[in-house]
Amino acid sequence: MKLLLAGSDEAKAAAYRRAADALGGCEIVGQFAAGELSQTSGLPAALTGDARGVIALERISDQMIDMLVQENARTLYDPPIFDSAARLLEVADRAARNNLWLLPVLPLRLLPVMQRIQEQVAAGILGQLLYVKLTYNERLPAAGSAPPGALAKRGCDALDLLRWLLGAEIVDLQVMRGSLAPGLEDIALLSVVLEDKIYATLDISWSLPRGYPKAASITIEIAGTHGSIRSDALNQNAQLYTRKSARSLNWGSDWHVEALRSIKAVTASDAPPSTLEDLAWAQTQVEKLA
Amino acid sequence: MSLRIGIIGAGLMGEWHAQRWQRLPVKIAGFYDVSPENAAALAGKFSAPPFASLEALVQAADVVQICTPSVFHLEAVEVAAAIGKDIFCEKPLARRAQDAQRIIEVAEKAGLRLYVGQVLRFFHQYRRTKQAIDAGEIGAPRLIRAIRAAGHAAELGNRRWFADVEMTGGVAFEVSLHDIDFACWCMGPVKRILARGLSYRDDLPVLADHMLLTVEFAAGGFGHIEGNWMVTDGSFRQQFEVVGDKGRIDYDSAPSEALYISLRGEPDPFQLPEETMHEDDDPYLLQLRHFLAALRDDKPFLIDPRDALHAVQVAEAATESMRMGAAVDLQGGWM
Repeated sequence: MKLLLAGSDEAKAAAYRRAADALGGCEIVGQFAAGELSQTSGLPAALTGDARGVIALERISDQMIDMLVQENARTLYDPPIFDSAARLLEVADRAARNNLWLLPVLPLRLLPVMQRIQEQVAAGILGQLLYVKLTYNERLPAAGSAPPGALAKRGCDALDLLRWLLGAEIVDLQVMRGSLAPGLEDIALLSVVLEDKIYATLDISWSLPRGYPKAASITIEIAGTHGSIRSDALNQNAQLYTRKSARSLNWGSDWHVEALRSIKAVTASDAPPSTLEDLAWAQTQVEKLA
Repeated sequence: MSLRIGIIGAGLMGEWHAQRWQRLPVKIAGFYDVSPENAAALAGKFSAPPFASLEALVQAADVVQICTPSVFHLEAVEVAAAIGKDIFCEKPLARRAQDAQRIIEVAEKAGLRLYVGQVLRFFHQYRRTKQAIDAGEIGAPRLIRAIRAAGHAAELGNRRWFADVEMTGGVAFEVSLHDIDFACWCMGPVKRILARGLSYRDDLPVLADHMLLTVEFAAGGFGHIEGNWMVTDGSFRQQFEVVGDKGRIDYDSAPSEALYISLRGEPDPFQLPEETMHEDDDPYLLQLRHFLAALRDDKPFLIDPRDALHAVQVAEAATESMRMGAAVDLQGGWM
């Protein structure tokens, strides 16, 4: 499958290039600034054939949607921060009317370990669900690149995950927010009540110091009357130590690989594993907390 | 036409592999088992015929996969060689080193490809570590430690024959052989070993249930390997450290589990770790893909049969060392 990167986020572009190499069967054939791409007469000649896609690293304009529809290009939507809920629903409506396959990259759902958990929960092995604890911690973003705050950046992902894993709707949502770094909202503790009196806390922060051996840490515990499921989702690694450094040898936790896997294998009738409507719901919850 | 795979042995590994073969562009030609009921059960499950004789199954296949207890591997290889079919043989290559040697000779004389399913090399933590070592990231490896511990496999399904250590060889063959092969893959052949162990039952002919193995490698360096299949709560653990002259690599499944499920009720006497990889990255599937690609492209297998022979030699020497209470020298490393 041939893919085009639309956007100028070099770190994310590099991550997708590595993912394409690791997965195989995917080739990144070019990168354009998103605005430049939507002004062209069409996708570059290099991106031809039936199996082709675009990875949108910035917000999607109406012109971009028209081009994607015209070219029937499957699209991954992975901007630094998502649109408003209202705008997402506009895009979703336009995509649906034109049969445009579009997957918003909500990393947590893509991780194979989360899919295993969802299968187990849906199978009822835990009995009556009681509570959930989720932590989603990252290093502080590089200076000048930080989105409005940790909640704005990762809140959608965490809330969507909770709703998807449990298959339950939120009935109450409150937040405590704070700062570790001056001038930056980098702590958000969400307290949630869902249907059937399930309660949850979502701990979203940029609290990992620079020296932490991993860029992110995602843990979840789900308890029910029959037992519990516990996961440290990014913990599949060996540790390599030398005189000068330490690093992780990781596997199974690259959501860029899983995003490409989703787009690579899809046929025309396959629905994306997450939709703009899912994302709009989550964004609505985040906007209510603002 | 799809390659036809004949599966010999309709137990747990036969079924395990059949599930993966179904995801590949091959056809399962059928099953043979000394128990016709077992063969019929898997045949029904995978929509392939059961065969009443080993010879008939081998005739019907392009490639045979031997998934029987290791004491029966030589017999199956001899039949496959006589009829002329390439072979995938599960590990250990044989219960005894002389049979493993004979298997290699039979296959070579018949001009057949022989692959041995030492699948640990396809597990991501082991592959990534070997890649890092080959890239020089820790310098020359000088010390390796490994642990493999689980509940007794005789508790798992229809594997009661695991309790027969004459048939299995005990923990040295059925548990630690994985880590013996990994250690040799990283550091070369073994030249000397000293093993201590125990059995929880007095009537066993070999010390079979727990083993501590110290090894010296022919190229220099040392290793310590522990094998245990009497873990009380049945929980599984694998661990290793590889220490080189410029760094080290550590892995331990206990703190490195990405998913842990705990349910009320009696603990499972044998718990495998939870699956957390995408099904396309399943190590057993990757192994089968490698096998098929190597056959198709006439390329060497990742595991040379002589690697598998050496692993059996080390396991056999470990058993002897435990019996004698003394060190054993292996002569010549790989043959």
